[in-house]
Amino acid sequence: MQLETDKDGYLTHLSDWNPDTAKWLAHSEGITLEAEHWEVINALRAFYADTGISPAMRILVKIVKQRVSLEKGNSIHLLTLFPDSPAKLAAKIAGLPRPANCL
Amino acid sequence: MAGFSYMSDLNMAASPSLDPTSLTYAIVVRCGPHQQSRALSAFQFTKEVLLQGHKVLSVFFYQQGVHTASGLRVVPQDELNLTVLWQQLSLDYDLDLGVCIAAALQAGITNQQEANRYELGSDSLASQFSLVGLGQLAAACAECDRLVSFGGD
Amino acid sequence: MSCLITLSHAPYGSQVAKESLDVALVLSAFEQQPAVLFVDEGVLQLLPGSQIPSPHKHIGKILSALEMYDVNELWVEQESLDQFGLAIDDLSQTVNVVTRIHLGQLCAQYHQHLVF
Repeated sequence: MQLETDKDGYLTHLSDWNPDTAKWLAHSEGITLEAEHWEVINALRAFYADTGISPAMRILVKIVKQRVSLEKGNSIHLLTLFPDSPAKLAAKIAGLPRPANCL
Repeated sequence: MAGFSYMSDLNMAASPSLDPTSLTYAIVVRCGPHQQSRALSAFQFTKEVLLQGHKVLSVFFYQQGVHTASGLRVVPQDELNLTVLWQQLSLDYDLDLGVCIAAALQAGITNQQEANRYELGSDSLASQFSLVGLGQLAAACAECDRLVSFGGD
Repeated sequence: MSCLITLSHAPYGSQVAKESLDVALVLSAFEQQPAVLFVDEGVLQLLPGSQIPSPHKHIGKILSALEMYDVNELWVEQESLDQFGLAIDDLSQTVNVVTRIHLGQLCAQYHQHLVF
């Protein structure tokens, strides 16, 4: 798959995103997407569609709490799925712009 | 702004000479260096606050203000160079000059790190200025006694 | 440390409206939970998405995220609504109304006041 990304691996053209793209992006981060990953990816994409915001960690946790489940809306769960920097990694795999850090 | 002009006076805050005690200020510069009189007011106010012995937590350049941080501006000899003025003030008082990174990048004002990240031709950020997030503005707002903002339009 | 953000720009013609709203969101991330006051052309940000010119719908979208960012206290100036012939029911968000004569009192309730 030949996809245009920037130096940090974010899609250059967000319109290139589809579930296969997500798998490829995840793979290049050493992640195999399972159902629980998709729960977060879908919730994140829905939030972005509604608000145009690529959220930082604090808001991502809230999004998962509200749109997935209360139990899964915590940083530990997100760190397990998307190690190191869940907001950045999830945004990358979900085909969102890079989170602005503060928003 | 019809009917709201008195708010811009509030915006400028009280003159520091009315305050006997030392205060902590946060300054926000939203006007570009091309808006000479307003941009100069921002600089002069900050300088005066420092001269009077008050503390300035940080200066945050946002919206049009980010252009002040460009190291590539050519300023006619008969105009004041606000970039240089701020640089000198920063050196004299160890003043933190933060530039909103999102707005700066959009305006073509970038440091080496971001220039590399986005594979741009070169960097352009003037020395003494640093690219920061909006979080710096929020933190300054939370910590200061008085936030003074110098408006855009 | 309470903070009031005043938004006075229309959601089109420039990025100012969006950039100003971003500040409100970021402040909430720093537990500032700002209140937001819409005046003058700022009230136009509260028009339903269908009434905002197409490339600028993003303001309406961002406003829909306010609750997620714990920005719950929204104010509009009555005279600004009147200026544009708007009623509270026309607006996309739940707001409190303040008349111009009481603006000073409202602002005095906050420690910091950022005007955009």
